[in-house]
Order: sequence, then C-alpha cells, then structure tokens
Amino acid sequence: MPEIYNANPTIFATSKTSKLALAASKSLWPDDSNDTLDNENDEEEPIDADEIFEHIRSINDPEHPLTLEQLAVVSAKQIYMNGNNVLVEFTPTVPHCGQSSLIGLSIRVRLMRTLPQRFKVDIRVKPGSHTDGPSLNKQLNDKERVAAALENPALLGVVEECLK
Amino acid sequence: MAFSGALTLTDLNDFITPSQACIKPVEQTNKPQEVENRGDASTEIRIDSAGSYYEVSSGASSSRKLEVAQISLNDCLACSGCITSAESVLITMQSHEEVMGVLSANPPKEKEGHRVPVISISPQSLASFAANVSSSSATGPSVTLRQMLSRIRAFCTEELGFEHVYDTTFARHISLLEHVQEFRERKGASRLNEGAARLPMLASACPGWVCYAEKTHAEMLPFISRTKSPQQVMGTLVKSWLGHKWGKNPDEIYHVTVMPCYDKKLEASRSDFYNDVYSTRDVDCVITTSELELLMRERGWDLSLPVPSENMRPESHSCEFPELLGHPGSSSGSYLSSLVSEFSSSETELSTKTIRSSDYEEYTLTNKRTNEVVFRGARCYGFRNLQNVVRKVGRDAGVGTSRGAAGRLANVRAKRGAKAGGTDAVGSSSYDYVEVMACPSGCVNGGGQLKPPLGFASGVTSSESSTISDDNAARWGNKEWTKRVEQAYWHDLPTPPPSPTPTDTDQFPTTSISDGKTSHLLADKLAVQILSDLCEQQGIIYWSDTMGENGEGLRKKFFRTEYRAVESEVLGIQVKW
Amino acid sequence: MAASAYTLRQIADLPGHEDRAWNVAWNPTRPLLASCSADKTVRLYHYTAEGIFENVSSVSTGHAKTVRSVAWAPSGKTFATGSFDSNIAVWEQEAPFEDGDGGMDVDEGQEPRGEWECASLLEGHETECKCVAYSSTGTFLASCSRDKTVWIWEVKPDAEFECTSVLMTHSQDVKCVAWHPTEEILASGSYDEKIYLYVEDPMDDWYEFTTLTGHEGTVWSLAFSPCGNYLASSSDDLTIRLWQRVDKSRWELNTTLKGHDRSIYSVSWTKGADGSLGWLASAGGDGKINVWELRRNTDERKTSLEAALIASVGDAHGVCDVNSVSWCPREGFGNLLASVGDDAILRVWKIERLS
Repeated sequence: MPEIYNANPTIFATSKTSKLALAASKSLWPDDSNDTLDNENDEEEPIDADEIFEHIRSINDPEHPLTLEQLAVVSAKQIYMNGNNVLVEFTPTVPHCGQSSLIGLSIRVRLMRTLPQRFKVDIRVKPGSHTDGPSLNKQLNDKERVAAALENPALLGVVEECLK
Repeated sequence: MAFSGALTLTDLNDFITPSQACIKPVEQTNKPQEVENRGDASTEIRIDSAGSYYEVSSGASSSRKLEVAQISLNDCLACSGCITSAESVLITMQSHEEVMGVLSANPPKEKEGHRVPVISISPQSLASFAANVSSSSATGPSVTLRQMLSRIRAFCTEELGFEHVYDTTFARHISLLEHVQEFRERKGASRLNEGAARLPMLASACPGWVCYAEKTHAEMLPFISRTKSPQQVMGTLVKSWLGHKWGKNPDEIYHVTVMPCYDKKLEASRSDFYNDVYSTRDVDCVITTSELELLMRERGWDLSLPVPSENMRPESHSCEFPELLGHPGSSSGSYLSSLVSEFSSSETELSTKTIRSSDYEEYTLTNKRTNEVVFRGARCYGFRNLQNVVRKVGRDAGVGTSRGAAGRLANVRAKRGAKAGGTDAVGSSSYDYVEVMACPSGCVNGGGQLKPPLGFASGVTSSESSTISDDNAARWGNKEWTKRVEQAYWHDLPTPPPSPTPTDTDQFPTTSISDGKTSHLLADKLAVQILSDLCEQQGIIYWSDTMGENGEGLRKKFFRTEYRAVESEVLGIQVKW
Repeated sequence: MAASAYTLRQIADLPGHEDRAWNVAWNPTRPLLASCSADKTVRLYHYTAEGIFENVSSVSTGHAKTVRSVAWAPSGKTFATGSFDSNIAVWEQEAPFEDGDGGMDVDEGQEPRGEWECASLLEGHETECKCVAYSSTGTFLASCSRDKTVWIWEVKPDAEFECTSVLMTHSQDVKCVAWHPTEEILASGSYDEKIYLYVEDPMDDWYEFTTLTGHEGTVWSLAFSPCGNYLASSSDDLTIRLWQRVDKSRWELNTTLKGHDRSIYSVSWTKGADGSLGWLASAGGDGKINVWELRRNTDERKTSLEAALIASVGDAHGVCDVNSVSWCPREGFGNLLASVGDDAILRVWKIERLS
C-alpha cells in the first residue's frame, strides 16, 4: 500500500441523489432545450453542473474507502458551466496530497466516458488548496499526457479502482 | 533527512539517461482490501519530483505512528523506476557524513569492536585534485599524483584517523590481468561456438553502464565482462587478502573508497559484494572526489600545501602494494589497451580510426604479413556512443529486443541480410572488445569529480567560441577543464598514447617512465602471490595459469561477478505520468 | 486587407481510424498522405490531381501503443513513426521503385502498392515519443519524448541509423521537434514552455545555441517559414508566436497571433501567395482551423510582420479537437491542407480565392 497523505480525513454528509438517479439522468431532459448549445446534433441534452456532479461524486478516493463527495473533494458548487465548457474544480484533502493527480485523472476519465463529446472539460485544483496546484492543473489538462497515462495498464488499473 | 552537502544534483554529468522520480516503494492494493487490511499495510517512502521526502505512516490504523521510511541501495538496484545514477536518496547512505559517523564511533585500537579504517583512492580522483590545486595556484608548479597521494594520505591519517591509505592502481592491475584472462576464455569459447560466454566482450568497470544495461538492455548482459572492477578487486584485496595478513576478519575492517563517480556507490552495494558470513561489504562506503574535498574543507585542510613526506622516494614508506602503477591507454582504466598490447607482437600493426569524436575510436590490430585482423576493439564513451554500440553489438550478434514493432523488424532484417550481405555504416566488422564508459571523456569527467574552479570557464577562450553565447562558454569551460584533469592524470604516469604510432606498437604496453617495466614486473609478481594465496594454489607462475577446479572456483569468487536483468515492474498508484 | 479573399473548402472526408487521429503528413514527392492514430495504425491515402482521395494502405505498425507522430523522409521513400510505446519505427515499401523511380510523380495512376514494412526500429527513449521529424536533406531524424530528451539520429544507408546526439536541455516533456527548411538547425518545444534551437558543433556534439522564452504554456507545435527566417510556435497559452532570425544565431520574438480559444495543437507553414511570406495554418482544441497570410510590414520602419486571417473554419472536426494540420509540400498541390482530429477522421481542405 502506498503512503497515506491524509490519514484522518474529515467526512462530510452527502446529498440525497442516488446512483439510480444518475443512471436515469441521461434520459431525463428531453423537454428543456433552451440552451445556447451547439447545433450539429439534434438530440442535444442540456447538462447542468448538478448533473456533472452526479457523475463524479461517487468516484472513490484512491486512499480511503470514501467517495470524493464524502471527502468534500468535489461539490456541485465547484463545477462551472459556460456553454460546452465545463470547469471542474476539486479540493485535495491536504495541500501536499500526492494523490491529487490521480483524483484529477479519475474525474477526467469519468467525464470522458459519460459526457457527450461536445463538452470541453477543464479540471483544476481549487486555487490555494494544493502546494503544487499550477503544475497539477497543467498535467491534468494536457490531453496527450492523459491519453498516454491511460495506455499505462498499471495506472489505468488504479483509475478503474477509483471509478468502481 | 540531511543531504550530503557536496551534492548538487542539477549539474551532475554522470547521468546515463534522464531520471524519473523513484517509484520503488509503490505497491498496488485493491481498494476494498485496503479497508479491511489497513493494519497490514507496509511502510513506504516517496520522493517527489523536487527530491523532497514524504514520510509515510505505517498505515496501522490504531497507532497512526509515523515512521521514516527507507530505501536501501539494493532496492534501487532492483528497481527499474529510475535509471539515473545520482539519486539523492541513495547517496545519503554512502556519504562523507556516514564515514565520519563510523570513524567517530569506532572504538580505539586494541579495544573490542575496533575496525581497521582503510581508504582507497582512485587515480582519477587524484587527478581531479591535482588539476584543481595546480590551477588555483597560478604561478606554482603543477602537482603530481604522487604528491597528491602523499597529501591526501597525510590528511586521511592525521586528520581522519585512517590507518591505511592506498590508491587503486594495483587493484586495477589485477583487474586488467583477470580481464585479459576472461577475454581469452571467451575467445576460446566463441571459437568452439560455445554459447554462454560471447564476444564482443564489453567493459564492466563503469557501473553506470552496467546499471543501464541491466535495466534497459538485458540482451547486452552476456557480453559484459564478468571481471570485477578495480574498486571491487580492491575490496577483495583489503577485506580478504590484507585482512588475512593482518589477522582481521572482514567485518573488523572499515573500507572506504574515493571514486570519480556516484555510480560506484551503487556498485559497492550490489549483493554480489556482500559477505553473508561476516555481514559486511568488500567496500563499506564509497565517497566521491568532491565529498572528500568537502571533508577537507570542513577540517580546514589545505591541499595546496606540501607535506613533508611527499618528496621522499616512494620506496621509503612501507606499503603493501605498488603505488600509482601506470597503465597506458585511457584514463578510464586502459581496458582496451591491455588487450591490444596482449595481442600485439612484432608481426602486428595497430591502426586507429576516430568515429565522429575522440569519444569513439576503433582500434584494429592487423598481421603485417597476412593482413589478417588479429583483434578489433573500440573505445566508446558517453551516452550517445553507447547507444550506437548497443545497436551494433545487437545487430552483429543477432540479439535484440522483442518489443513493439521489433517482431516485424526481424522479418525485414532477414530479407535484407539475405539481399545485401550485411554492410553497415558504423564499421563493417564486428568488434572483439569495447571499452564502454557512460561519461563523455570517461572517468576523469565523472560526476563525482571536482567542479572547475570558479572563473575557470570565463578564463578560457576558445577560438571556436567567438560567436557562442555565455551559456556555451560554460560548456567550453567544462571541456577544457576535463582536458586539464586528463593532463593531470598522465602527469607522472606513463604518457598516454591515444593514437599510438604504428612503429610504437612493440613497446606499446610500457612506453613509460623509467621504472614502468620494473614496477609492472613487481606488480605481476605480487598479483600472482595474491592469486596463489586466495585461491589456495601452490606453484602458480603466471596469472593466466590454470588452477584446479577448486582454484578456478575461488578465482571466480574473488575476481569475477555476475549481472542480472532488472525486470520492469511498474506499479500502479504512483506511476509518473 | 485581403482578409476575406479566401475560403477553406473541404474536399475529402476520410474516416477509417478507429480511435483519435493524432498526426497527418504529406509525402513530399508522391501523391500519398499518411495519418496516424491511437488505433496504432498508419493509414495511407493516394490522391489524384482532381482531388480524389483513396485509402491504399493501413499499416498495422506493431507499436504497442498510440502512434503519435508520422513523418516522411524528404525522398518520400520512407516514413518514421513515433509511438507512446517509446519507440520509433522507420518504414519502407516492400518493392520500392523497381524500374528506377522517375515516372512516379507524373504517373499518378501507377502508385506502387507494395506492403510497407518496418526497416528499422530506434529504441532509446524511456517514455512516450511525441514527435519525429526528418531534416530537410534527410540526413537526420530527430525525436522527442516525455523523458525530456531530444534525440538526433543520423540516417545511414540501408535503413541504418546512428545516434548522433541525446539532448537533455528541456526540463519537461518535449512535445515537438522541427527542422529548418534549408539549414541543419533543429527546434524543439516543450511542456516547460521553452523552445530551444540546436546546431551541430563539428568537433563535438549538438548543442542549443539559443532559447526562445515567452510562451506561458506548453509549446505544442513548431513550424519554420519556407524562407527559413521565421519560426512559428503554438501553445497552450492560446497564442502563436512568430520568431524572427535577426542574426546567424539570434532569434527574437516578432509577432504574437491570437485567434484560438483553446490550446493550439498544430501549426503548418507553406509558401502561399506570391509576394507574401506564406500561409500559416493553425488548429487546436477549439475545433477551429485558421489560415493567416504573413507579409513584411508595409511600414518599412517596422520589423513586425503583418498577419491577416484570410480563412477560418469552425468545428472543422465537428465538436472535436483538431490535433494536426499540414500543408501539402508538393508543387501544384500547395493549396491543400490536411487535418486530423479526435473524431478519428482525416479531412482535406482546399484554400481557394473567393471569386
């Protein structure tokens, strides 16, 4: 087992929406299509921050048997939408957390797999929440690094564990 | 954790290839299990990209006690995570502070538990000191290696309390004898087409190269010489032969070496050089030239000042081994030259060819009458040349990796071979021997050597550097500095014949100072005596004499070693990506 | 300004890759276009003067991971691939030019269809190879990797390669390498936001003779101007910077172009209209392809270039990122621009003057 960066994290209460709701959410919005979204696909679903949050709240922390939501690493408030641009901010539990790149990678992979292709996702650690914030942000938003990382079976294995 | 102050990792050049952060301690565990088994989790350490440590809890959920984790040098040797030589974590275990700690804790002589402190200094380290001292006293005469050895001996005995101070040239002498022996064995075996020991033989004295091969070019391992490096032969001499002479067990001696290279620390830590019976290593601690210099500075020792003993004749002080034995050829150990001279005769002619730069030279011995090639070798230094040697040897010997597109490659190669009959660019014939060193310019330019004195770079003006920026002035300066160290190395050793004129070949091994031949004869004699003692064999006259089964077994034990491919096992959770 | 005088018209839409397409490269002497992909293949397309593109080959490279980069040798007879598996492979066609070359360029119907085979494998990088590039004479092949190194290989006869240099100048992932069009000058751009230019010291190794700093993000792509006096670099900082050679070994920032709102992954520079310094195409994560026409400043006192955005296509690959753009270097086809994207599609565009 790797080192524990934060051996004693604070656990937060979670909101009520269940995983079932998440599963259903994809087909929930045939009506409300007032968005300024793109034009190439007729079956365009408007997606809001809450739905994005639904996708990522259940991701497991790499070092605790807890979800990112329970650890308040992610929250709906930290998801910003602007058309098809999505900014997900997350807050590592401790400022030197060595698992942050893995958490960010897991968030990215989850959103890659669940969001329609039209969304351009940026992932950042909350400003000031990590000692190495800028370099983490750079790594998490480098599509080439991410693509290569996911071709590393060992790393992918860990990500899959987080996404279980 | 304190770092050895002498280390500046940023500008080391004993790199073999760029480093990755250490991934060794990483274990991948399944998340669900982690919940149940947290108490079982082991202690780990991680070093981040900045080189700082994270101490990590043992994971025991109840106590949460933080423990400082450790990585041993052996962990690093067994890991494929980083290929660099100078990982800071390794060095703390073999630092000058470690040496000082052991020496100060050492009980006095004749007391229980006293260990005899011995220090052995490489000639390249002496050259580095000599160049440094000579250049800082602008007017004074240049200092010889012999003077340097005397001054360092004075420092090590008077200031540090070492009881014995040696240089490693006699150990190298033995290493070269055994090296020739091994080459003859391999040549014989390859003639009989016996698979195991093959040609070309590749030098193994550079631990950077050996580590690199073990980690990324396992297909090269059968070619790498099994003969111990001078450092490790010195280890054998001190712990086994001298120890016996002194009536000391190996663990009753503390043996430190001073080397031009950080990777020598790795070499000394190999399990092959660990004595299980006495729980001790042949070389207990390796410090670099610059670490020794740091010790001197800490003690306020001025190496530019002469010591009384330095102008006495070498014979006047008693030393078990011949000192500062010259081996003409290369300042990295003359491995190639020793073979060239071995196969030279009045009938042979030596020709050399420089490939691209002085860091890659081919040596060919041809029979003057028949024009037959007797021996073909190369001297190949630096990472890029090493790449080409690996490619060439792999191609010539028909070994290769099997990764990626290589499968398809083999196919085309076969066709091509059939078609073209195998002409290639880097030299059309295969080598019998290659002196491989990881550093450009070889060991005089090792990463553990002293840096050029301040202002040296700016003082050097190269005719070619006129249009070159300041950044590159430093580059030129470093090259010039390496030349100075090289000069210092040969100052009172036999002159280097980098490109010996063909007419010289008869005297090739000993175009040297007056007593060169004599000292070599004495060294040979002592070497045979040592072989005879260690291998429990009477009546040996030459190093190459074949001994009985027991004797040959002991020869292998004392003068040979082994290599192992390091399996690449990258573990999940902290893979750098 | 002639800003609206041109349009980019899509003339081919070539699906076939099964995963994200990373890079596209035109054969400099033959009517062949190559693209590479995360699906580990290289797809080759033949084309006619009429602009009909036909897939002639799908090379299963045997690379264990994504083929990130593909580059043709100036001879057009071989191409190199750089892969995330850290290796570089060099490919030759099985029965190449049996009846002595020559007719190939004109006789476009007779494109040889021999199998492409791996003639050489270059190992050495520790981690993903990100880019490969041949020098203008074909003497050298450069590669770069996340291992922070740039390697230069000398191309020898009989598909043999010799390592000439391993440059450890960058402090991070090296994203791209590009050669000067006429001289043996190599440029590299990196995640460390720097660009280095290297030349060979005849007595010694290659070395960096200058550093171009200013980008505030990863440098993704580099392209020298056809005249060789300028270098374009594109970056995560949403700018394209044009660097001017002001002296033999001095390069300085000349102009900064803005016209993308996500990372700019690729730039390509071609001759363009007479009297200009050429057309620079750029593309990136915003799905846009821009074409800029560059001219010397009409105000003679100013050294900065005039850049006019003469054509622009949004959503060039639907909603997906555009990973690579490349102008056709062949005489008579200089108005063709190829692009590949995350949609795994190869598209070819023709730049046309609006009548």
